[in-house]
Amino acid sequence: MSGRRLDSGGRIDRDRPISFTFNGKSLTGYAGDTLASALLANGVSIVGRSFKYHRPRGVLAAGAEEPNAIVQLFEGDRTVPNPKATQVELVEGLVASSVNCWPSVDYDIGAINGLVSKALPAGFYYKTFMWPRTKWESYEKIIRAAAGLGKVPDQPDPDYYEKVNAHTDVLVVGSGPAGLAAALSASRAGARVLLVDESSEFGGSLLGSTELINEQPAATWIEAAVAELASNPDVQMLDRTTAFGYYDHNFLNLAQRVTDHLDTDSAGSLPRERLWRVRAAQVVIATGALERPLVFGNNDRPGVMLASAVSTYVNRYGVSPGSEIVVFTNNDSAYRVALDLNAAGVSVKALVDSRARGAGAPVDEIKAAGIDLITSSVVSSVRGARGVKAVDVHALTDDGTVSGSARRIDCDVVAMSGGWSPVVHLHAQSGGRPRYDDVSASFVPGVAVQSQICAGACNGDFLLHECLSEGAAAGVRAAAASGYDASSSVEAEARVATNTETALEPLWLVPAPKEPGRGPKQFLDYQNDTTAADIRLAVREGFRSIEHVKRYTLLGFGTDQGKLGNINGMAIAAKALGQTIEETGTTTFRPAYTPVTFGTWAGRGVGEFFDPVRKTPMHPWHEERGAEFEDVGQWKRPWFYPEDGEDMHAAVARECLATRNAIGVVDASTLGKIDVRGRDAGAFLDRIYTNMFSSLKPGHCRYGLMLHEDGMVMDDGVSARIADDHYYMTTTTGGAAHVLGWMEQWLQTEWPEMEVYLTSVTDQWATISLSGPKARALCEELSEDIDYGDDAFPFMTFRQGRVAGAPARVFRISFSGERSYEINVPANYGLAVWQHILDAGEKYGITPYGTETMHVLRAEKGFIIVGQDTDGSVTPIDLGMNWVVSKKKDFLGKRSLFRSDTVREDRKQLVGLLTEHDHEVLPEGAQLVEVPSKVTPVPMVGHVTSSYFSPSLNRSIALALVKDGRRMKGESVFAPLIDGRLMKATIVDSVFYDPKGDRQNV
Amino acid sequence: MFIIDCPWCGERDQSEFSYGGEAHIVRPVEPEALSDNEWADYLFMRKNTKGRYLEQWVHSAGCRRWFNAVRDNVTYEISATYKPGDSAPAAEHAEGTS
Amino acid sequence: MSSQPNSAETARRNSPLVQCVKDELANDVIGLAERPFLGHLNLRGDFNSLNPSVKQVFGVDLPEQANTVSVEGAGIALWTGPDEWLLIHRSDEDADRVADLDRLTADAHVSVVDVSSAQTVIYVSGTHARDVLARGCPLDLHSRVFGTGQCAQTHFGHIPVTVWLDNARPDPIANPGFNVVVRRSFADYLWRLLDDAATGVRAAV
Ligand SMILES: [Zn+2]
Repeated sequence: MSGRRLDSGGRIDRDRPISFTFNGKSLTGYAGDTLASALLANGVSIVGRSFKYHRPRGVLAAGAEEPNAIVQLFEGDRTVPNPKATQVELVEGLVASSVNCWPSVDYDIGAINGLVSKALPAGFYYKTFMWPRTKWESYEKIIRAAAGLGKVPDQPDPDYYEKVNAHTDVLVVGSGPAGLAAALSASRAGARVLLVDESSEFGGSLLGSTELINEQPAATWIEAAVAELASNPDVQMLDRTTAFGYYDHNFLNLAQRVTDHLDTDSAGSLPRERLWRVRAAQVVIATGALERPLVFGNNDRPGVMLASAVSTYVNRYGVSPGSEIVVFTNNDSAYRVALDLNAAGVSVKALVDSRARGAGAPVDEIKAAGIDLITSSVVSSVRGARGVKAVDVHALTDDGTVSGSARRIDCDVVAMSGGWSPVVHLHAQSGGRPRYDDVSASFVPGVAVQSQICAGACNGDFLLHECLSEGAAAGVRAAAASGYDASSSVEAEARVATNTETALEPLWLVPAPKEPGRGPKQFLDYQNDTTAADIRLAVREGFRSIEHVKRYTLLGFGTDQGKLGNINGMAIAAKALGQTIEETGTTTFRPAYTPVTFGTWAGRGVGEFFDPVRKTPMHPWHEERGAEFEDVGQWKRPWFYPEDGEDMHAAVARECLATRNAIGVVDASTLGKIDVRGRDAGAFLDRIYTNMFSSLKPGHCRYGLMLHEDGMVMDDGVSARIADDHYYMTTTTGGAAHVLGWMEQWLQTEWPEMEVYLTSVTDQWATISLSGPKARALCEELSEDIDYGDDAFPFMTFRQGRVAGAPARVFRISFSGERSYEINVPANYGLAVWQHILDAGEKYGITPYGTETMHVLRAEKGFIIVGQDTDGSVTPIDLGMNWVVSKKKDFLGKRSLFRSDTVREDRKQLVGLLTEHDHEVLPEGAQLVEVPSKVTPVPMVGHVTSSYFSPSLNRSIALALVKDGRRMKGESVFAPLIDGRLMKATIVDSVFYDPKGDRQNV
Repeated sequence: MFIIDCPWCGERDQSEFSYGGEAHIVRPVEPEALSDNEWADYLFMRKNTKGRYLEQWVHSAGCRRWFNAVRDNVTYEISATYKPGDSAPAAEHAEGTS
Repeated sequence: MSSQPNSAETARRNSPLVQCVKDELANDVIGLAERPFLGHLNLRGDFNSLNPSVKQVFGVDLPEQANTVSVEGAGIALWTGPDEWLLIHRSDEDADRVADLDRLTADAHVSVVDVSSAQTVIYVSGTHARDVLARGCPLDLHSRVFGTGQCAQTHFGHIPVTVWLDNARPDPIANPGFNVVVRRSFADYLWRLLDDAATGVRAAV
């Protein structure tokens, strides 16, 4: 095989040479080339090695179906594993290399597998390496090292990717004759049209065709069609865009390659790729058809190519893949190829047709061109180890076998055509079931289950005049179905010769002179080295379902997903099973049609945009103060505020002591807040909370606990009664949205008769919580209209007034155990009021503290945090919070508290733990055991939920859930740690600090 | 990705909605009068039938209203949506009803 | 930090997007701007209980049709649910009008909640505003489908938003302006997300 650039022809720009590197060699191509066409033009014949036998492989196809020319594209952080060279546009400085061959394509150490290939039948890996089981891990490493395709980049991707939502009346997939005709007629009817094509140019198969439209070259018609579509503002056209997934309700995903074909300047700040998420009223599937290989001996040698690909390289790229070509076919389409090659000055040595009569009309043209037409014959095998040197041609006998001696024809390219496989992938992904069509011997789209129309070659109608007329009709129908008056729509004028064809005669497996398995391998799946013999072996071994045959033989498992050889494999399996192809069926067509990069899937959902970030009104102050932040749900909360040289431990100790001795201030704006209004507000909250809220007096606050219906703790918080029909509820930071949704659901679906309205006010209020013995003195400075005296403003009440000039609600509640005032102001004032408080509090030693100190302070008091000390399997009884569970009323989850499982006495219960050594801090999550045994398994009795060093107590404290823990007070448990240490701790009450609650009044 | 017809807002993308499980499960009026098994039946047991299924959705990123949908969990066709409190439309075919 | 401590009489306000740079982003292709310090009221109740009072105080009728917006008098009223409206008025400090509405509706089963601090409006405008919104919003914003007078609650990326088209713009088809209501805590993230989406759109223009 010695490819070369033809002197003329093709759609390449010969004035724009492009340098590129392949496997370390500098080569030159032209603008408009693909990597594959440029490699062929440079005479590169071996582009890779096969997966299992490491056989040399060359370019076989010209599009998405290419199985062999898989490359590692670009280098370093921008490298992409496994694109097909047939789809890679040549760009200046492009660097690519073969995958799956070491140390080089020309000398491949793995080819030893080829020499011992008799020992590597289908299922070989499963059979050989799965026993003994314990050895699989070591086998796997070796197999994986030898196998595999490209390599993923080992550095972060420097490019960015984006996603776009799009809506259209008519999505047309494919811009060949059917697609262009459909887009024209749909747009002329007024529909919004989105036309997409995976190639760099619109035109599809017409780009490599010599057929005439309106007596002009097809290119002229394409140009006019594209110009008309481009001038219509309601038409959007995307090239280099693959419709790879067809999902529910006419939702399709497209991957657009935006910059890989551009130089750095033109790429500018464009995304590298773009994911289009398209909702289409109607989809016209005009995806064409892929040519099928023929299955003969050594049909994988470099130089064996699809006939249509040979013609595409000649006509579109001005490249002849070889100098002496034998065409081998079972249908008419390859006759056109032979004639095109001949016209381009490429020597066609013979046209071998398996059919007795050959084609109709083209026969005379073939003969006139002086091409040796050999009918009733097959290419039974290829000669040449590193590329095609010659073919053996055998005559077919009446019973379809071959016998006698072969005629040897020297050549360097075999252009094969086994017929055409309609690209039914999108139809099948949409839920359609392809049906087998005997005339075209192919699977064609079945009944559409979504709003779609298939047109042209993807329907099994391969002739140009069929494609054009079906496409135009599909466009009209799609526009009408999406609500446009298409009656006056003018179809694009496209006069073409109306050929008739002689029927294809299926040839799934070329008969070989030697019995199966003895002659040269006949490949079905080039990537996985699946042969015809493997399929028959699978059937002999008892596999019946085509899905099982596929998994056993790896047929169709490559990155080409069986686009070429699956149909041949299914037919061979059908024959071996004594079934029809229809009965055997196809394997499942799943998205993606072609591989999609991770970058495209991720889009902008990386780095700073990975997850939403919520900020409080005081966030700028925290940042300026140098706070370390902690993610709490989506919120950024100050974790602690380190001062010069402080580590977290020191900062938290300082913050804790300042709060217990003077004033601490924490930004609690993230608390969920819900405004509850209506005549039934109190009765409603009685059903939501475990305790009573209808009995709460206006002006007062109460702690409440909520359960799921299964009795497990869901959320908690303090709620206040503003007026008879008005409550202000708070929830945990993480639970806010869930609690609101939960309450709305009950109101809307179960209790619509209750007069209650809920409104989220989480973001309305900035919440500044002041705690400590000097909090009252500071508050008195901040307000003129609120009396902070203990009689006027007792614990668990709230007052409205102004704080630091802003309208405020102040709640006297405490999560730290100290005297606390929780100041709520409209968030627009939050930052200013916070700053004012910090300035005014300076003389009292006010200290901002973060979530870590907040957690330590509350743990010292034994206050739980829902989601930390509970995990969805903990009841209020388990927490020892019977006091908050009303016996007088029903509430959500109440019945579950009396189920046999929830009343068990050995449930895990909340307790405190004190470690044997004061300065040992138990790790949160540590499992607890009763006996210090090193023998595993050890029965576990519980786990640590919260654990800190308490600066106020100058020792460590922990909360834990321990089986029957309340009864075990005073007893010891042990925490075996991952580093081998064993920490001993004593079970104690969960309130460590100020158990009587005196600090509240200091 | 479905298109869901919110009874109030009309057809919207599934990404605006959240799923709420089987529809028409009524909370017992007197939970404490139920046996453990009866309560567990309300709490945990769902039909989960193949084919036509009545289920709850909420237009969570839209009008925040709950509603019910008739969805075929094989074909994913949503044949109807209706407001809470309304009864489900009759099944068109006897087979495939849940 | 520009804010200084204030006297106890007048606390200074800061909008949710106080940290974001705005002016240089506005141009004819894509403009991004905050509309800060508007008054926002979340109204719940039935139409007849609310509308006369709203009309009296703000001069705007509540839209009865789903997903529509009324712009009239001193208010912009958006349908946000079968018993819910968002009323946007001139200032978050217009406490008098809010008190009037509260007083007029005191006996009815309605809920009037001031959410002026809870949300803000980002104005996304320009010839390519739709392309920016398409990078996160699942709605079809084509002028045939989403025109002036319509509003919708949806999401941009993972952020819930309410969108309506500015009806005062001279050419809302070729050069639209979308008002995007977002909760305060998400505003900074949404702003960065929109600005980021605009990068891709500008590069493609
Ligand atoms: Zn809705």
